[in-house]
Amino acid sequence: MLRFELFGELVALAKSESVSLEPISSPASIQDALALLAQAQPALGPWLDRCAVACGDKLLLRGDAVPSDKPLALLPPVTGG
Amino acid sequence: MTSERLVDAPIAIDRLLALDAHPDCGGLALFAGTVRDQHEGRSVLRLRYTAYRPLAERLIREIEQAARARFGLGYCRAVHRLGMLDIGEVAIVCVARAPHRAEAFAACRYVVDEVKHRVPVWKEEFYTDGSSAFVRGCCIRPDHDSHAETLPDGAPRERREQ
Repeated sequence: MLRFELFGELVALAKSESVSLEPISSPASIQDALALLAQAQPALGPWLDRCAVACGDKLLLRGDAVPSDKPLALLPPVTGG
Repeated sequence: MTSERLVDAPIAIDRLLALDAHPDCGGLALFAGTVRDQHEGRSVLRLRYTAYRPLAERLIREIEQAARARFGLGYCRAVHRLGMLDIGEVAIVCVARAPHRAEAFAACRYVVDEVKHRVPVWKEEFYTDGSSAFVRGCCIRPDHDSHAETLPDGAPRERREQ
């Protein structure tokens, strides 16, 4: 199971606070995981290039391996303050 | 004194000043950002802040630490409010204490800028006409080429950066 937690305007685009996928095979990298997400949720596709991906309190790179059994947080551009 | 950098209740500013410590610090700078009633010509009724807490907490602490080292501070604390805020409510507070005022002022500006640009917090504006929108902001993807990007609607990034 591949689970994404969504934040900011991504929640409205996906009409959900999370997306769970059951890929035929485990994605090798974060980039691969995002490609699967874009297929499952086309509304998110145009946003993914500007989204950071985090697991716990760590930011991940597109080439990083997908952590096993942990959700991925999908973080759109930030606007604090 | 609270140890959380993200809070769901009004920020208790007096508890962040640490006035009973740091006698070597003669300068105390305090910045408080409040909710204003307009944005780009639209009349704002209230805001909602949300965050990805695990990363946001760590990054704010790292920004504080960087400010202490960079400006020679004796103390630095930043706290961001989350949830629904009305006009005039305090959204972010930064306190910087240094031996002299110049470093304290500079540190406050540095910390608030860093929080706005790096910390995963999102601002949704609710307008008096009943509509709402997220404010567009800064991409925090570490391996992103920010020079070549466009927004999903095809507009250049600079047009809507805050």
